[in-house]
Amino acid sequence: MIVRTSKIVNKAGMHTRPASMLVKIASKYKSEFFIIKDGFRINGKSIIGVMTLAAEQGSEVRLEFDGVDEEKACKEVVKFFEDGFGEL
Amino acid sequence: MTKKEQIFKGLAASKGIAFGRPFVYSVEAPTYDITNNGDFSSEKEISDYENAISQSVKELNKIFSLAKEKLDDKNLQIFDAQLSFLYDEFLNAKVKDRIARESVPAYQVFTEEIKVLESAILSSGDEYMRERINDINDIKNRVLRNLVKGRLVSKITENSIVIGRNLTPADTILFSNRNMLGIATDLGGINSHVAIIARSLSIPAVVAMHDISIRINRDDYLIIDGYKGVVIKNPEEETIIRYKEQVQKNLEFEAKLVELEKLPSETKDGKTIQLSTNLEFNNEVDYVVTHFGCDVGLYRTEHLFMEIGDFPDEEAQYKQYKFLADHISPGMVTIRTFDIGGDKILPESQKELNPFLGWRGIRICLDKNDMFKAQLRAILRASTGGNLKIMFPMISSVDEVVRIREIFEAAKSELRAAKIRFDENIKIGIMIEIPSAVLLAEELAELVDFFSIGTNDLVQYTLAVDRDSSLVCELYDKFNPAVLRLIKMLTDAAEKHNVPVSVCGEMASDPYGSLLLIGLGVKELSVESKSYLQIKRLIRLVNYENASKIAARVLKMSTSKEITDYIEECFNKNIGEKLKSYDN
Repeated sequence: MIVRTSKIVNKAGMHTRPASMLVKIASKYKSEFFIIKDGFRINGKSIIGVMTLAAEQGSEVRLEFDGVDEEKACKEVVKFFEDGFGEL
Repeated sequence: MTKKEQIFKGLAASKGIAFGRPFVYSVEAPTYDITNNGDFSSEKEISDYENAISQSVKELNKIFSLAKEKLDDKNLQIFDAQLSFLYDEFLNAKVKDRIARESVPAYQVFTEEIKVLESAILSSGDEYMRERINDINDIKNRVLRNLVKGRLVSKITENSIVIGRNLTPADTILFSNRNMLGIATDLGGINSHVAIIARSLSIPAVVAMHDISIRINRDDYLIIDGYKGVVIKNPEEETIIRYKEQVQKNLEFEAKLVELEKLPSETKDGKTIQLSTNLEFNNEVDYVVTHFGCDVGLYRTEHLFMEIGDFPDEEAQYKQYKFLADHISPGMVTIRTFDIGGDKILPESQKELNPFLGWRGIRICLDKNDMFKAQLRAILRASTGGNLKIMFPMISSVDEVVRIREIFEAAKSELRAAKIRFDENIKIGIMIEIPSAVLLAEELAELVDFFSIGTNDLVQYTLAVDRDSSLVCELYDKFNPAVLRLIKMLTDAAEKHNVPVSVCGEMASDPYGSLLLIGLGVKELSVESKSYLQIKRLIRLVNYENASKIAARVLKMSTSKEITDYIEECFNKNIGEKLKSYDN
């Protein structure tokens, strides 16, 4: 299992559009993907889950990847966070 | 417990009186009994849920394809995001699992699951995040609507008076197939769509009742009075008797009007005023043919769209137009191309701030060329009997008409090339409902065969008044001198170019309005079928020369109070008494 910490950097936060893109990216991989924020742990392949985190700009999240392709999954997801979901 | 009679007031939107039980309708909270476990079946709930999801996916894809050309990529991703909610396996699995384990209806489970998400988002301190609630509401309402749709219809098996916060045109049509006795809504104005549809279906309606939807319970008994604009809850015995008597009296008046059916529509001094009717639904056709035998001056096609939530294909449209052409023959039918607002096809988050000034009517048709041409081809193919005309809505410029004619010619060439017959002499006309079209009337007259004034929109656009806004709808005034002078400008320009002018708006169905229109030089009135005989009665009482004089005098007046006072005076002096016994 790989664990990373990331920050939400775009202004609008984890709103509908990035949430759906994140789910799309994560769903390409076999590995399980969880996001943890403020003690909540949600499945990163569920848009309802991701949106429930209501992660606004500046919030920190813990990302957990577990499975055969965890490294690749981690790399792409972390980059997506660093790029501010393409909204910078 | 005895129930006390209570009277609720609103605006009278469609004449008539009905007695019955209410059906309280709300999109957000279903009225079917979710606690009734008597016939609960989790298998059925789960399959209903799956159907609602797949129906919602279908709708979103449809909207997606319609909006694709209009929106940039970033905005389009909203659809993608909404779709990903519907595809969320975790949500779907959880909902189905809870239905099975807890024996709770799908509606309730889904609402609860979404609520968790909503409160998480609302608790966020961030404004950007809180705005996202709109996306979620959009998708939630779509799924819930699809979830209750089937039951909704099956629940209104007995005749009932539909009560709601607001009814969309699609809802109204849905209900109309189920013997709806009347409509009362919290919102809406007398010219809102629900009112117009109610009038064309001859169902009493009262709108702008503020909070009727929460004051009526399903075991109440109601009288709805569409003349006075009131709803009476649990009426006393003597109220019921009084209303039954009035219904009887109305029937007698109507019986008297029937004598007029066979008489020509001409003024006292022998001038023929062509009187035709507006039509929307097939179930009105028989009545129009057997009782009036007149032309159809306006056939609205929007309901074809609203019933299926998409543009019907050419073949389906052809069948519909052919049906009309055959049944109304030898009468003429003027078919208006789709007059749809962008608000009907754009998703919640993309809605325009001013839909009435936005993407609607001919603007959508000209942007969606293929859809438009399919409609024109369908009308052309149905025109072989020589009794169809085509009319285009929302014209604001000469360029639009030039483009329409190009597409129209292209449609004709395609048919000729395929050796498909159509009426080569078919006439085309435009709706005059935007002031700019009046100002350009001389140029437009060179390009079309007829004009038809849509008074509802002409009033709205001339006076900049939203007729559905309860705050300003009082300013919506068809007797505003500016409106009357515009109509006069149009009839003058049309006469110069020998182009006939008809009126298909609601002003033609109003006694004062039709008197003025005749005086202003309009030769054809197309009215709601409910008003047809009353207006014929009026035409037969009017002296054409007098009407022209009255109109000429009115054109010099500067306020609508002056105008209506003056017409009232003329009415009372000449024809009022005779007309009164036919009017309520």
